[in-house]
Amino acid sequence: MKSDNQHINDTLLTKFLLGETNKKEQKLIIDWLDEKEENHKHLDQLETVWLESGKLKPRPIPVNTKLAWSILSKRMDVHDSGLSPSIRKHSRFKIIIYTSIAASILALIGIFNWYNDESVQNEKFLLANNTSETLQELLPDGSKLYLNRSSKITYETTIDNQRIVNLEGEAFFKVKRDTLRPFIVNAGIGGVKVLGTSFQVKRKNNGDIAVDVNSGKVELFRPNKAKTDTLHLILVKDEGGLISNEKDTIISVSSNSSAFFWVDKRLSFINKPLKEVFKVLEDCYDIEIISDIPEINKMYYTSSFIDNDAEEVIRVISNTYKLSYQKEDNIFTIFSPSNQ
Amino acid sequence: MLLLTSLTLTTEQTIHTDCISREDFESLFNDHYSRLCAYAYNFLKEQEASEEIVQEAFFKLWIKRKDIVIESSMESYLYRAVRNASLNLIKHINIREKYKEYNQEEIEYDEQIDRDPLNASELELKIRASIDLLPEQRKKIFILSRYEQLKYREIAEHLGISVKTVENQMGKALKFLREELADYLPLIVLFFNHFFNGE
Repeated sequence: MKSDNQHINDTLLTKFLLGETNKKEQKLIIDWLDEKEENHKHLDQLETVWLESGKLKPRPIPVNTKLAWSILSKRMDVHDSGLSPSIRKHSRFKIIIYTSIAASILALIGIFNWYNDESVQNEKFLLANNTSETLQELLPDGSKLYLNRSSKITYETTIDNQRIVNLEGEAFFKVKRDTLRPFIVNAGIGGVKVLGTSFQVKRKNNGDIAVDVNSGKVELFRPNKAKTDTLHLILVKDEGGLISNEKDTIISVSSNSSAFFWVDKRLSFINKPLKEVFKVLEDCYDIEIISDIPEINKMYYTSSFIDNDAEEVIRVISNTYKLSYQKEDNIFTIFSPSNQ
Repeated sequence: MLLLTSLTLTTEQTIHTDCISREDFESLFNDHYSRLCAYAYNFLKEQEASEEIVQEAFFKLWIKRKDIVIESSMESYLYRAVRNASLNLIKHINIREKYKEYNQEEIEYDEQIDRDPLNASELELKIRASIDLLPEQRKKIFILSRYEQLKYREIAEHLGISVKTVENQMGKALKFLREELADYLPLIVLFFNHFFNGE
């Protein structure tokens, strides 16, 4: 559009429409409007656009359709290729109730350090779990943290508004959504970037980083050794990823049904070979299971447990298959009675 | 076969979704994603939840496409699915108690008027599509200004950018919308029609 007054452009007019101009600018615009009828029309058009856009109902929200499609189409691919025939039944809002953990918190002796720098921006937070239980804590931004035993984190907010966590060991995060402040977990060779979701990160002794996603989506990243490039992998709910130290790569792996056991004390088996069920129990409860069941390869188990101890679970399983068990310290021996 | 019916439409027309191609499905997604998210957001007041519900609805439509027959249109199927999922979520999740309280009135109000989101005018669709075309940052700024009614200064603080940047981005956003909607403006502002043919 042409005008004798070079200063008048859509930016200034927009500013004017939104009541952001100062007196001097207002005068400039008023003079400009008086110059020509066309100028008036131009402003009217902008105003119409502004007013009409305000009538939209429901009001738009800033979604990224492209990204959303890439996530959905990935899910569709996985489904179509038959890897995941089941429909995800659980909404991510089924928020797990953490009871026993909360009660034990008082008894914990975590090293717990809070200090504020002069600026509120730069809050620092350090938490180490030297107890034998899971430590539950809120981070300064309101995100929830479950810290596994022998694990340690630091948290800080950087000047450019990123929430940075450095992790040693294993932690589960329920991140408070804040699209303007990315939440980044560094775990040695790589890390995870999220906006708001829940997931866990385990930094293994060999340097590998294992990530399991409980809800929402996260992005794994890993700068290559030469630091010239960074690998990325997006994971969604119920997916897992492994950043391999040795292979210089990020691998997508299927999430283990008991991956979150240490957080929520919940086990869920769906048609899982009994042999594998035992393996999961061994990992979760730190026990050993010796089984002597001839038919074990034909047995598939479906059930879920919340907050049961090892013996309760084994008793239930044994009853299901009419098996017997013996317990000695941390060793369970399971057998078919007929076999004895 | 599962039969899904739409309350709003009484036509006998049915759509067999099993023949929908991946490409058609993608354009269905592109056309409706942001609007469906906004629709869910209306109930849930949480963007992440809204997006998740919408993605879930699309995902279910895709995996069940061979088993369902949709009366009316796929759009109205999607809107109903998103609406039901949103309302279910609010009803069943006690944890979201505060949202429930917060939204209760609004939901009742919305249910009363229950304006069919499919009945949006062509202009509305065009405005929405144009907003979707804005680059991400500009779109965010525009939405904060237009729909959150934030001042330039507040937006700048919120996004950690300068007021000058907000000013420029807003100018560009409105300029873009004006150009995109140029064909529609004469209809709204009939009066000015002839002035802008040459521009």
